Amino acid sequence: MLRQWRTKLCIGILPVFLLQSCTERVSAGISFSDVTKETGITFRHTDGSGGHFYIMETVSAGLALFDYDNDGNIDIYFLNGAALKGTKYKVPPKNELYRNEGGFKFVNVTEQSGVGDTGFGLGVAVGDYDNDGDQDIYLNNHGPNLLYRNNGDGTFTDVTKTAGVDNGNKMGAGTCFLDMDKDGDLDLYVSNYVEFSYDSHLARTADGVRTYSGPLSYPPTSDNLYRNNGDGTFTDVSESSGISRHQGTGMGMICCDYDNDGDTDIYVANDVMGNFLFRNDGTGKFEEVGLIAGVAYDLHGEQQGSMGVDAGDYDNDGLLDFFVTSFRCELATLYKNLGDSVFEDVSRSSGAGKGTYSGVTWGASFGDFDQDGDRDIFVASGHLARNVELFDDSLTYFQSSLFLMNKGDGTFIEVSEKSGAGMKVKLSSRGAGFDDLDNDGDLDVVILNTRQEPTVLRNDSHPKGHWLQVRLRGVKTNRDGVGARVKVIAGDLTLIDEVHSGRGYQSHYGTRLHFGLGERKRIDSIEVRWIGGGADVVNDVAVDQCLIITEGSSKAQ
Amino acid sequence: MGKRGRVRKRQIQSRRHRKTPEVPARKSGRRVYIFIGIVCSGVAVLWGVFHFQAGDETTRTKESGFSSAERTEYSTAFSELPIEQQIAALKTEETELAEIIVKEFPDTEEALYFIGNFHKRHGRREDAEKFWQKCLDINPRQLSIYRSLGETAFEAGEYEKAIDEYKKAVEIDPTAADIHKGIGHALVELGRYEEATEELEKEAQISPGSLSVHFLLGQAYFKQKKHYEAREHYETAIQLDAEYASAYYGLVRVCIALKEPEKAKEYQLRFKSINDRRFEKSRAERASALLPTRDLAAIRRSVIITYLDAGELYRARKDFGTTEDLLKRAVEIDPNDIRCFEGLGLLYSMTERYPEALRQFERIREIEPSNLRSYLNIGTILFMLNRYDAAERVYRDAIAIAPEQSTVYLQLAGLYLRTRTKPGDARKLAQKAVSLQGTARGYFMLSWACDVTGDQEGALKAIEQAVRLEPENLKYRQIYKRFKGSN
Repeated sequence: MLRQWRTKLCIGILPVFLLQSCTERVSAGISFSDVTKETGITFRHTDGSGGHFYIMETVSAGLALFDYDNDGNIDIYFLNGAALKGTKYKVPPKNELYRNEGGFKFVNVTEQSGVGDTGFGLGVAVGDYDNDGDQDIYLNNHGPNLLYRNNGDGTFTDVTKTAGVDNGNKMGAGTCFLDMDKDGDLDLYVSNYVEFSYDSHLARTADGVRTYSGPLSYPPTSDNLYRNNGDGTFTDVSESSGISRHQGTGMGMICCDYDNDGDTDIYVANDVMGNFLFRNDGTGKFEEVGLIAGVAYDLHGEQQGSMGVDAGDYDNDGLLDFFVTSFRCELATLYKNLGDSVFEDVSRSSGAGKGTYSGVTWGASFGDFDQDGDRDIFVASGHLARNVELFDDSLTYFQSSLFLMNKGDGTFIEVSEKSGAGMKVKLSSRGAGFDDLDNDGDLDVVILNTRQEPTVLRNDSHPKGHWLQVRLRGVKTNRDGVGARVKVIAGDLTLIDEVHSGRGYQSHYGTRLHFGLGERKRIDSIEVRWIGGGADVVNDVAVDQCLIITEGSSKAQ
Repeated sequence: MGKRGRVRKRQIQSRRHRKTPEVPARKSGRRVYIFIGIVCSGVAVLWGVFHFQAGDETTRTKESGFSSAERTEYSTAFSELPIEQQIAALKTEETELAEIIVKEFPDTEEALYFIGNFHKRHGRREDAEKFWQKCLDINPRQLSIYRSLGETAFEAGEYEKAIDEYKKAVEIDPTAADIHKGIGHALVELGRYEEATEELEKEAQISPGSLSVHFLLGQAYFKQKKHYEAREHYETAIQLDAEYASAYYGLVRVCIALKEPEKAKEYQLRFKSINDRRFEKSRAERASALLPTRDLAAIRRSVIITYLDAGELYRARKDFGTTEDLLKRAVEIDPNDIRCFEGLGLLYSMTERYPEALRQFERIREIEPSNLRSYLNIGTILFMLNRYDAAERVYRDAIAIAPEQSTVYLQLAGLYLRTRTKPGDARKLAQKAVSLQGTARGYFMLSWACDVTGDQEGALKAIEQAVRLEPENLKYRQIYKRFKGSN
């Protein structure tokens, strides 16, 4: 379905800002409204707990924002926990899919779609693995994983066994589709958290209060990489690719071309271990370079309790940077890409770590929420342990989200309290997704809160700059354009982004790319470099619309 | 309040009404300084300066050896209970003791400080700050309180507040250790690297051997792109501690910035090796089977601190009986914690119960065979008990354990000089001591040794050094005058 959307005309008494001071921009700009109750979403997350303090209770779960029925509206898929050993539910909790009816109204279509998995959900990725024009779902669970093939008629089929991607009985985490070998189909990276067994489990105490053990109490484990055979099946290439050589405690992850060499690399956030950066040699063989690249540890060389990760060009220098969320008493880390495959932790000098120290941060994303031409950062927070106040009264289980506004000079200012009532919601958040849910051109937010209902935030920022959204259609390359690099030039502004499958905290969103253009009224060119393919350029494009760019065409629809 | 708490309370209260034993009048001309570190960093317990006075030497007598201390069996409180019940019982006991302290010492600065620390250890920041603030209301010039407030704010990520509190500490004493470092570290975390450098350089003047200061200076210079200065400080850090992983990480980043890939790779391998070992150690400590005992051990440590703090309060009040009760209970909480035995050793020494003091320091030596302080304390007490041969053997053992410590040579030299034996050996020992560390006390001992071996010129030169290092020391000045007059 091809559609174009036009922006609503913004008429106001406030001037469109160009080079205003940050104070003026703050007072003019960002605002989120909590519209959860209006949406019709009745999902409530369950962590499967029964008083045994199993570690997976604390890390569930991610969510997916994607257009499952290709009607142009972004739908929402929530992952759920399940009964763990020693817990019983009358009705097993399940994942839930909500179809977007427009106007922030959603309908539960779980039963009819067939994606109500009752496994213990942790991570999810979405991608058209069979290149048939609709998006499929991969679930990375505690226990066997699932691959749901989209049938194209609003239903899905569990094809895990056929595909060969159940990944055994592991504790999952983030997961991504990527075209690692540039052969035109989507391969699958599956991150695994720790080796867990009920037999060896022991809860710990903190100041005499029973609570959760951390990842250091369990053996680390390696991740898995599956190559798409092109016929609906996958082959486990973890060993031959070099991935399985490395034991980690994988959580969120993202795949992107950080070194601009035309292939997709992999970043895995490890919990209380050095993060991994797997550099692709172009053929699907990987070398782990996190330490030398400067993204494994923080400024002080300390490993962090890394949770989620996003990639984006926050300073518009044409290089993708990383933002990694973390545990309490740690700053969320902004790794600035310096070029030459080297990064620097600039969390402190940039202000991107502000407000993140005392909380536990999870799903986060770069996004231009005020559409002024630079990417801001939204961070979802919430402590791990629901009884944390009993042994440390300076901490709270429920925490507010954070909004870090990009000032346009490589620095951020924390403006959470000034960004609308939606930022005052205080729950224990995990996965977060960011997309235009009402097709008004700006990015809205969906947050999965552990043991609670989700939060849906409508972006009511005003005024906003102009915008562009881009949906890619691969022909020779993978149908979703996953891994493709898009460069938008509008006057003095050059923006880049990539299509990712799986990102943030064990979640999926943003198949449709969003660019904020500020006051620029015309786009000079949009260049698309397809992974494993060539490049297409579309020139002279109007702002405030969503374009579909098909591989091999110099026109957009 | 539990049963044990009621018993404890009765014991403490009954002690107050008993006549506290008289502390015997101290012998003239002898002053004893004893320092005990409550915190795990450990401060040496020193028997201090022996002031030489004519006619006060002790005649050494041969002894046939000394009988070793009676072996005492120690039991651990609550160890018969399951771990979770042990934790609960210990926490209850500690809380009850804290309540007693609050009642018994309602307006005492030290008590308020200790209770604040008690709350801090148990994650009750608000209560901790409340008590510390009460302490400041009594005496606003408490540097240690501002330090604690600064540390607490820093741990919460409130760096501006941390700086404010540390600055109050600086106003009281600009030369106090670790305060400028606290400010500098907070400035690093705020990304204010130039200001951080200024503060950290001040700290480097105060504590030139501080590993963390050099590392933080490295970080601050690195972020200002002053890579050579950064490298210098990282290299100093690893000279101070060859296993300091973060400094190697800094060197990796600096070498990359300076386009020295080979060096970067070398440091990378070193960093990885140290870090992997550290990681494995952390994992082993947190392995599921060991997990329940970690919290128990932490709680026992906290209870002991509260008992030691309480003991200090009662000792200051000269209630030595209650102090002894408290310290003995601390031993029962953890019979392998040397701080309890140090506390008892100090107490018995102060009250001239030397055989009992000896037993405490010998217990420390059993727990930690290379604990130098215990050797020095044993040697000193043996001297007090006129067991000179045994004292000599202990000091020789101390030298074998810590051949680079000047104090141990001075202790043995002092023994020889006081017993008027082996003056030549005393002189060699004093010379060795000052060559390792030229202290005023060391030069004083050397002067003494030179004097008794007939080297008046050497004696004068040495006492001159002592006076130069401690010009306010009246004793040294008097001796210097005497030597100068006779020369």
